Amino acid sequence: MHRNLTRRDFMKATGAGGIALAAAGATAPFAHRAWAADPLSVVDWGPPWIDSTKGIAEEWGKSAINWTLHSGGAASILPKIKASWPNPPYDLVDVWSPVFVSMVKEGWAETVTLENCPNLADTPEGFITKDADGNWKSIPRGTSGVFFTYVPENCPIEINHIDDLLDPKLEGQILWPNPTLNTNLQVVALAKARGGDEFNMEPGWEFLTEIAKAGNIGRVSANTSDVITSLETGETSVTFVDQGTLGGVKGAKLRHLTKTDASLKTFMFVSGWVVLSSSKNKELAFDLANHTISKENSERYFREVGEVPTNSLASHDIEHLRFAGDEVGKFAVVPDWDQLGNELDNWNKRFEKDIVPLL
Amino acid sequence: MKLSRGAALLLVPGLGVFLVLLVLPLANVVEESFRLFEPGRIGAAKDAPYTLFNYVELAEPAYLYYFVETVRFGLVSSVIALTIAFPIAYLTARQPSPLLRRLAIGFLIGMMFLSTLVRVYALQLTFGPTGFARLLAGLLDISPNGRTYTEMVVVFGLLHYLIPISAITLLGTIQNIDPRLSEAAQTLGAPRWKAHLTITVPLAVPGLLSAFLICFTLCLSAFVVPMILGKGKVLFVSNLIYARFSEIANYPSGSAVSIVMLVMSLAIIYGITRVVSARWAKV
Repeated sequence: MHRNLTRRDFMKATGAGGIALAAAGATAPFAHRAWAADPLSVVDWGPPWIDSTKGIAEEWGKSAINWTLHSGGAASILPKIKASWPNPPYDLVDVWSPVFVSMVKEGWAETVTLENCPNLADTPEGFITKDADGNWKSIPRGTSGVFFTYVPENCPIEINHIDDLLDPKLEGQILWPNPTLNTNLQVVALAKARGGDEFNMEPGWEFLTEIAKAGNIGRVSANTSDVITSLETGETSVTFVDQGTLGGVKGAKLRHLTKTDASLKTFMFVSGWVVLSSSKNKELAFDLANHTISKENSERYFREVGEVPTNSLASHDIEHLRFAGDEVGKFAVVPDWDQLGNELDNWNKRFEKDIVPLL
Repeated sequence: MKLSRGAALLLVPGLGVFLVLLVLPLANVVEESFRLFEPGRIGAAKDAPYTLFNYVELAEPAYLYYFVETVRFGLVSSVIALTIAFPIAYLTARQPSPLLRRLAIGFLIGMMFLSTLVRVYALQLTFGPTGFARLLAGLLDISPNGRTYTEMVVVFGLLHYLIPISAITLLGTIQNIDPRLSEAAQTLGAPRWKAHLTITVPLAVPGLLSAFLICFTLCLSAFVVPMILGKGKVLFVSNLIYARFSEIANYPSGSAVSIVMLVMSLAIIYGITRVVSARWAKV
């Protein structure tokens, strides 16, 4: 029997629909908690890292994975974890040396043992971040360097010494990283060239002021895509960057300044996993992390990302990051990550106050 | 007017939403802005002592630079946007063909629905290193990596969404101005331009003021445009706030910058409204 839809029917249907929607919305948080045990939530950097990890995880195949990208530097994940602690929506986070320190300090990193991560037996203990009690807190994947590099084809001069960054021919050619990228190691590099270090940064800030005044900084990079785009398009031709990001630069041939002159330092760091102590999927998270650091997957990581694997059984051939005994002291530096983490806020403000107005 | 009990009850849901979504978060930001930040931590500790340091450091001339820069870009972009939007709104409002008028209005509204990210990346592709940066900078005899070119592209980015929104705001104002007033002035011998400037434009001042305030406040809070098109050289106060909250995790300092920006914006908008309203009342 046909019956016309009255205004009252319409109001009833709308009301019922609204109540159903509200009920669904109100129960969503509980549903989310119930489902949380299933898919693993992994945070990684953009390409090439995430592409490589996705491939390895696909082979592993023990769980569906929700992927999240770091927005900018890896430290940008920290406020997101803080804001949602003790229920952050992440299980496993790929970070690097300075961020390991911050996460351990906040008590967010789950303790790692050879039982939950057996492949760590092939990783030298020196690479593993520990807490004050000596507990293992990270699962290293690779070790790499941050260094100066340039595109000879687009660069107006040949760079052989750090003072070349002041050459007027480099006007607008330098891609200078924001202090939040590389934890401001770029200014530490300048400081070291003039007798300072991470504890005495004045020489570095003076040097950077000279570079900025010379008009040589063409762009301030804030993320990996800035670096890749700027170098590949020829917008800029000189930068200070980590090996992993350079893995994404396919359209420009680079000359790495790792063993060119003692004034051009390479800062060594470790990258890898932290399993969050809040995770409801710890077993799966450890299993995936363990899978990624096997000999075979460490070699794959090296091929696809370009970092030197921390698994001592894995082979690699990154010559510009292989330092012989006498070269280590001359070209390579392992900074005090705790000092960098503590000073980053001040350095960022210093950059805003003294450098940006000159650009 | 006395508020009846029923009317007061009807206001409760709205006030509740206002309290939960605006007042409480804002109070939280104000409270955080007076906390002492310990470097290396994520935000302030729960028991961190109260301090004025986060506000005191903003009094440094270097930080004044960012506030001045943000206001400068806001003023310049808003004035340019109104200058371009007024003729567009005028021609649309006075368009005799209903079809063309509908098309023009539809186009302006469509522009407003375009994602900011899409606009900004479109501009970056066009005026960035993969586009016409070298050509355009060469024509203007400036460096494509220089400050002037970067500022110009940031203004383009702001205009991209300011022009449609100000044209739509002005449309209603111009439609409400009786065209016979201008025609009467011309009948009495006034040249067309003079009739326009002395009759149409003054009558459109309230609309112009509204459009200006909308543009200006949008510029003050612009974040994506300077972040993507500013190359890290042109930074607005919103970018400082983002860096503190998202990259350094210094929530107290980020909160202090946010509060100062909020107070400053309200003061500027209040001042402009007062000055223009007073002037308008005399006309």
